[in-house]
Amino acid sequence: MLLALLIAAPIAADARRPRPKKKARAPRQRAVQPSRAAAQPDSAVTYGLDWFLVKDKTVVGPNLGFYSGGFGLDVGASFIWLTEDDPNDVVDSFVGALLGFHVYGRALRSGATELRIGTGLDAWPLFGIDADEWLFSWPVYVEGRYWVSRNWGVGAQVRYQLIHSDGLEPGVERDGSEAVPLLFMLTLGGRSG
Amino acid sequence: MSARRAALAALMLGACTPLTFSNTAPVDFTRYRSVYVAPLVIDRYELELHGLSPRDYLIEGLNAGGGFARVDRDPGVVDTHLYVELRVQYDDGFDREDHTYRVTATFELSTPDGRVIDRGQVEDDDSDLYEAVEDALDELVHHYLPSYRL
Repeated sequence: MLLALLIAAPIAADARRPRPKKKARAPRQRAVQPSRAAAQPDSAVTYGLDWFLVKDKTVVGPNLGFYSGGFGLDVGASFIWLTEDDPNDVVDSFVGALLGFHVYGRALRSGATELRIGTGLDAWPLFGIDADEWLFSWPVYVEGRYWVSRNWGVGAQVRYQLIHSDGLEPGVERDGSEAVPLLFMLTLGGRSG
Repeated sequence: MSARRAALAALMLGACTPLTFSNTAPVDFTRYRSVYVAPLVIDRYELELHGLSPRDYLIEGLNAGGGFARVDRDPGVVDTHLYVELRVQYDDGFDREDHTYRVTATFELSTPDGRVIDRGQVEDDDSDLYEAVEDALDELVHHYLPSYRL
């Protein structure tokens, strides 16, 4: 009997003790996955590497710019080398540079994709030939961009020269035969923000 | 290389378009291969450009970048003679900092018997006289760039 009381007493005492209230569970929040479109910064500093698909030449170089809302500015400096010998030995391999100063409109922005339409001035200092040998052109271009992540994207551009110096012959082979007077460019681009 | 990568590489190679840089020289350098640069006529000023007389500066420039295979100081056996006259105009401007020197180089290239092959003039201006003369002579070298198609 005594043993039964000793065992039962703590159980009874425990039963009388006020139970701690269960913490109210916070309502379960659904994880919100921001869409890429929502993640697009409205203004950003941009940078990247341009590679022009030019026959018998390597044309590659960096670009830098910024955009705000629907408009942007961009400057690029690509360097030009011959990938085959110059029969007249005027240059060894290095020809010069393409300096681009462009303004563009971000015509379409949908999710991770973007379409830019731009114009500006292209200057072609041909240092490899002579320090005073400069050619100029007035380009228009359409560029598609795909932002792989918030900060990195790839792009492809088609450029047409509305007006150009006589010595600049887009779409013309060395032997004078004519092809499409367009310049294609691929770009790997980053942005801040 | 996977078929996708090969297709991408083929597409990029196919997208390569030609782009040619060209220049047509004012003189047929295969016919007129050498030039004698006559002493330059310069009004009023005694100049040295990087330790060289303007004539030597021009000879050095033509040797480095011009289309002539040989540039001579002596009128020996050469195909052409080049005569250059430099004229300097000084403009005060509105104040002292605005002053400029306008240098005009008038030139004539002729055969040794006097037949004119090419003539013209180039000019440049700068607030520094030496810079203006140098730039005008550089313009003259630029005029005699060789023909090229790159």
